[in-house]
Amino acid sequence: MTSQTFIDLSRWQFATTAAFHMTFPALSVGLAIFVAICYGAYYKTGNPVYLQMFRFWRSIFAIGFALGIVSGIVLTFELGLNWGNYARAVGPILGPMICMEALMAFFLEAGFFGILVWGEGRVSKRVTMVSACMVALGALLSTAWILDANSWMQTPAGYREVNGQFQPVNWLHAIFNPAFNWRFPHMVLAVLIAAAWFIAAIGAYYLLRRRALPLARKTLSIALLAAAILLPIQLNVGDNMASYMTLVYQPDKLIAAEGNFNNGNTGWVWFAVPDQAQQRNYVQLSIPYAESVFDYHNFSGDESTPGLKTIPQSLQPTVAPVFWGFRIMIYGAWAMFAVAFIGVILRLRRRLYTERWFLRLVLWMLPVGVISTIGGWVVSESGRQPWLVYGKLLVNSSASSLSTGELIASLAAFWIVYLALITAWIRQVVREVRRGPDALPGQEGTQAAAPGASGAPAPAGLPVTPVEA
Amino acid sequence: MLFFLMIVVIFALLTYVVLDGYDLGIGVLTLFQPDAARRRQMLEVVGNVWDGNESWLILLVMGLWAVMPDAYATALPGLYIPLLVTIFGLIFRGFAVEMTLHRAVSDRTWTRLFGVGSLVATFAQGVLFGGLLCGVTVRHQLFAGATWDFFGHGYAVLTGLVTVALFALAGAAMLQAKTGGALRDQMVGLVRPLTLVTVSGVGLSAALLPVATSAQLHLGAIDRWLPFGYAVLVAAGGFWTAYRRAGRTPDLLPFLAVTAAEIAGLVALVALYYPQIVPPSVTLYSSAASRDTLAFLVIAICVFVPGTIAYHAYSNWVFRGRQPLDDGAVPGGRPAAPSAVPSPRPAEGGNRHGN
Repeated sequence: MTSQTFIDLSRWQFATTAAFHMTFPALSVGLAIFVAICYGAYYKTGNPVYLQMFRFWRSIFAIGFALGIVSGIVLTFELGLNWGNYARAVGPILGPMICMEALMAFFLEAGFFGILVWGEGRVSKRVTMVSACMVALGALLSTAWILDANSWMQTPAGYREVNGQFQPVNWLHAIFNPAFNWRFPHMVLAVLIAAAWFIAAIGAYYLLRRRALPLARKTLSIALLAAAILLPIQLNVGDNMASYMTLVYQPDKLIAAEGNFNNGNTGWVWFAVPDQAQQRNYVQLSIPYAESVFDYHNFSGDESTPGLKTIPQSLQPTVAPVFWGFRIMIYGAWAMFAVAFIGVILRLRRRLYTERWFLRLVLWMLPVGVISTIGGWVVSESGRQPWLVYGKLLVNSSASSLSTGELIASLAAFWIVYLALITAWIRQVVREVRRGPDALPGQEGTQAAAPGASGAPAPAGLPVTPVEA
Repeated sequence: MLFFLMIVVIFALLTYVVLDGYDLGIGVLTLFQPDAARRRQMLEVVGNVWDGNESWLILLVMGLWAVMPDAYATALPGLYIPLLVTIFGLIFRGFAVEMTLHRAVSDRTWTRLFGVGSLVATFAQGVLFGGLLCGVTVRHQLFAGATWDFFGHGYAVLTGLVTVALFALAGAAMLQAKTGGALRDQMVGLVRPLTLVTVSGVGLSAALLPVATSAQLHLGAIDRWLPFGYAVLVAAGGFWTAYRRAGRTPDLLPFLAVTAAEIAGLVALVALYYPQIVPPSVTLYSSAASRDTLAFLVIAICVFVPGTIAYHAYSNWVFRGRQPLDDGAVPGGRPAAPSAVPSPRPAEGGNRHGN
């Protein structure tokens, strides 16, 4: 029998490596689409600013993409390393789904990524355009399949159990399981919004520094437009998902997210310090009647989510991560909505590029989308506990039998390595941004001449960007 | 269906070994390259292919999980330590490729990390393959051995070293086709000694295998010894060709010869081990997933793999011929920093077709 320590540490290992991994795809999906949009605009209009944007964002995209790949390889192994029993049980269903991800998405991305990044000059504009679209498509397909595999663990469907193994009976039901149908749009919107703020913030940075202004304006404009369109949709999708999907299929998750231990609180708890052992909250602050409105769209204000005590304590999810993951997600979403709303007003008043306080605000919004996405993922995964396959397979009976020593060593190694990697990634992005985009093709003082002329002198250390007064 | 899918999994393993083999090998070789501009040139050969090559690893691992869940669920915990070391090596080198290519030629840190990561990943892959050949203790369809079982009284270290030599050979053979000038001459000079080291290493590990492994090796029936003997002949011919033709045209021939030897080696192992997947007790049949899973996979593979091969072939065709891709410039046509002189060699070989 595997020890509890081993299981807890394995959970930490998976949770931290997965959270690290998903930061990069979360940005890459949106960045890939943005890069494709930039090139598409250049392809259509021939405006060199779009080409400059394409090249600049492509190089930022490339590094994050590489980190996404290598940290993703880790996950494909981790499913089996510490979780041998789980791997055996769900392999016949989740294995093919992730194979589909590799076949449809990874190969597509990797095949065209090289052409996208290195192909300029070797291939026609049309091929570059197609490559950009294929990379973006691959990123979306990858999101779909990985989310599908995860959703099946939330709401298993289309299977039968044989000797403790889940075997497919109806692939359509398994693939389009109830959670997937709700969570896929939610996740795609989330990653697009996360990337939109990342992109907008860098645009705002250039506007604040008064550098590369044509690029900065276009970048900020497109990204904020995307955020302004997507956020209201996302709030709606998320709200419906909580009210319908979670309430019907995973009530435990909703109960834990609302953070009440007792029945009957019609208020929406906005702050709580839960004490699971005592089955109560130390501190709890709620907005009266709001829960009824939020969760049930019942404006009489007298409907409430049941308390956790309705679930046997051994089957309760741990409240704190679910509750706070949900709060982080939704507070982030509200903040993003507010800033996007202000952005729309400023745009209508034609002051979007000049209000410095607003640009500073946008700069601060840079990580909010990613943080919200990770918050949501914490809700989703810790709200499923103590089940690994909801209602069917307990986390505690899923692990491999290994010694705790090697696990501790690997966990420490992962944390050190990932800390180093994320530091290196942030520094590289900061470097690239500080250095600025390449000069517009054809402008004077530009370095971006034909290959072979690259010996042309440029003073070291100076930004190659034309600085506009 | 099961047999077809086994072939697919083996094909993924083979493609991974052939493709990532040479790019890992190039990584190992950068460690012994004193010249910064040439190191950079070597890296650029890897730059546009490494992620595609590693996609085959994902397909291999996930294919194994889908087709033979029991094999996946026992081999991974059984080979915990070499697998994790492989992963860390791959992480560093993959990230280091992109970092290096976005920086000046003079940057040393990431180039070194690329080399070290490649070496570590290669060695660890050899160790884990050796550990797998030695056998994994399984009880009740779950791993039941000890942490250091994979070590196989040192056999795994031997296979690790052999893998380093083999991949370095593949890397040198690829570089002699993909580069020109002094770097090419350097690589041509490496192919022969590396071939000798590899061949003696493979010979030694083959001789020790019956002693080291807990698996049953079959060589009695004709359907065993015939493919085995044939594979040995092909492998010998491959290494011989690589040795003889180093430095002559066609440039790609030594690499193709090494590839043939790799394929033959795998065929020989399959002939010895079949149907054991995770030796000795997990077999192809005992670990197979249910029928519906296999049917789904067969359809998926038949639909998607041809397309995959087509656009990867296209991508390789786009980057055919000798490197560098754009005279030392980093992606996006951004010229390297002025202090960093791009490789002195102009694209004189740019229109010579290496393959």
